Amino acid sequence: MNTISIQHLTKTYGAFAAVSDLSLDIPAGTVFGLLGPNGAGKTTTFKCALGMARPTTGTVLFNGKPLVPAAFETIAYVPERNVLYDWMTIAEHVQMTRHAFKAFDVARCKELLALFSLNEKQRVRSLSKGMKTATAIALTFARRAETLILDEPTSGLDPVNQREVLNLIINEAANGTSIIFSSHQIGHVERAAERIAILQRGRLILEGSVDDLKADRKIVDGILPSEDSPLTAFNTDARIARVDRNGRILRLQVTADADGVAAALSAAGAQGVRVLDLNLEDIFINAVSPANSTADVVEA
Amino acid sequence: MVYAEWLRIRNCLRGYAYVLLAFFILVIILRIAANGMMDVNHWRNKAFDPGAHYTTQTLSGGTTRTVIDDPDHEHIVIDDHGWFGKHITITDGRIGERDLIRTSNRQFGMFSVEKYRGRHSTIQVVDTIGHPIDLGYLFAFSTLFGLIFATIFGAPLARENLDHLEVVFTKPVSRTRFALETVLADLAAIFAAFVMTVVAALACVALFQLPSVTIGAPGLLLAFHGLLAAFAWYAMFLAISSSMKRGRGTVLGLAWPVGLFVPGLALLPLGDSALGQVVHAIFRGLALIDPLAYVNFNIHSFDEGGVVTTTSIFGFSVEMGALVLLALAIVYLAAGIIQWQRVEA
Repeated sequence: MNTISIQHLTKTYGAFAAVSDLSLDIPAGTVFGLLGPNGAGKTTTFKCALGMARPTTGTVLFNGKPLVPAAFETIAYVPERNVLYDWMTIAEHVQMTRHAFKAFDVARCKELLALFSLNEKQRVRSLSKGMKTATAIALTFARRAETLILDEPTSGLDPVNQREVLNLIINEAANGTSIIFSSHQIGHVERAAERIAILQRGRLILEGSVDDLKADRKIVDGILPSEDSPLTAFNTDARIARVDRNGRILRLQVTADADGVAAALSAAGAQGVRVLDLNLEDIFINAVSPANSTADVVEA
Repeated sequence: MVYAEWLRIRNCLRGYAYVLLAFFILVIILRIAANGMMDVNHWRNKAFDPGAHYTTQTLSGGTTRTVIDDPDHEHIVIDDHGWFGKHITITDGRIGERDLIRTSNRQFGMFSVEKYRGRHSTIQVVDTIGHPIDLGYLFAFSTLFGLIFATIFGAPLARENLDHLEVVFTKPVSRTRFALETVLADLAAIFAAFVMTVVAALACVALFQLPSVTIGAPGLLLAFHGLLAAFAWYAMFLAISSSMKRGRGTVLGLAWPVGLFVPGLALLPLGDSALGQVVHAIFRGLALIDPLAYVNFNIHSFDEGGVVTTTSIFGFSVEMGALVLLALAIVYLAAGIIQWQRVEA
């Protein structure tokens, strides 16, 4: 069962396509990371999914059904920007959320506010950006929602509170909550997410489980006999996604059969050939870098 | 679901209550200061001072005149007109002096006190109104505050549009219900502000006029009309601004000048030229949908009972004006809420 099923979602603003023919299934009970450079369409995707923006085309289903207002009893959202009321205190926000949602747990909220060292009597206008984010996080996690959608949930937080938020995400997921979050902190996504999708210019360019993506993608590098050594065989090899050369040093990013590519590189006379693991940041940068801009979606 | 709106309303009305309370305290101080001047019996009782001499006679027309000369050299003439109140002249010094200079003129509800000074005397003239005054004028006064609060609470959805749609749109209620709850909260707040103004004004007036006040059916109709004017004014803001993310302040700021300018120009004779006629027709048409065009109070002389009526620039009766305002309020509210359905975060 998918918590969210996005089918052929397109959202245009005039001639500009913020999201283009996006299809994505997010399984229930998983932590799903949505990655992409600025303007990739992550926030627009969230807004369309949550009914805050009307899709130009396409459908979004929550647990197999179209979204209805009552579903927000079980869906919670933290937007990327501050949407709290500046003139209200944190305590008043707690009351507002308590009035709006049946399952809201005031005691839990107070715990979380204490975790982030927030004083309930403070007005939002007096809070720093990070404190506002922390307040929104506390209000959202205290809702005991079944699905959490978090747009840049660690934005503006200090490293300690970033870690707290990551722990919260992981703990909530352990309790069976479905969590979809976006972040520019790829290390956070790597730590918390089981599956990821990478968007670029509104299009899905990569999707799969973090482990599978990392297992399939390797770096093979070596030192060529000379700077003039031919690379034709590597440029046309389907297993190789990217070829970077700096003098005699050759660096190949492979999507399959790294050992085979390493053997081929050795056979071509390269010395010091080695196979390295990629981290998620490498995968992300490779996916969104210009060299791969025409790459098809890779299902891991 | 509209907790933030209720909170905003509570804060606003609490502030207004403090302002009214401060004003009421000032009026109490004024009342105490004016106590000596307003006590009619104070002057009548002078007749019983030791050594005082007084005469009473009935004048043609039924007025009872009491003339008192007391040992303090005060000459007091009390003309009791019954239903039409009393006229008291207190002369301290030479009687009948001319070339008097008026030094003060104060009105305290049903009392007016004028003072004159001559070379050899000072004269104080006290007039009271005897018959009950219809407090409809209080409703006319409160309508102004209803309109001000309609402006303050106006454009609530535009306020959400700017920064809080992500909060509003992820509540487990439909947009229509949220908008309706917001509007109802604001209308209740406008009503509360109107009532607070009436009560405060009544309390202030009562300090000076009690018990000669009355509230009749025309006054109540006027109150209803005033409330509808405030509701329609609020609804107009909603209709104009509900799809706006920015510019709400501009709408609220320009609304009063424009809202007053349009009926003003609709009334202004612009000559017989074709252009003048066209401009006149345009502004008359615009005035039809301007709630302020229906708020035009006529306060008749208090000597006739203090009747207050309102007319529109179109010559509508109060009842007709109220009906038009009700229709405008409904249409504007519907337009505002329908537009808001299409707003995106």
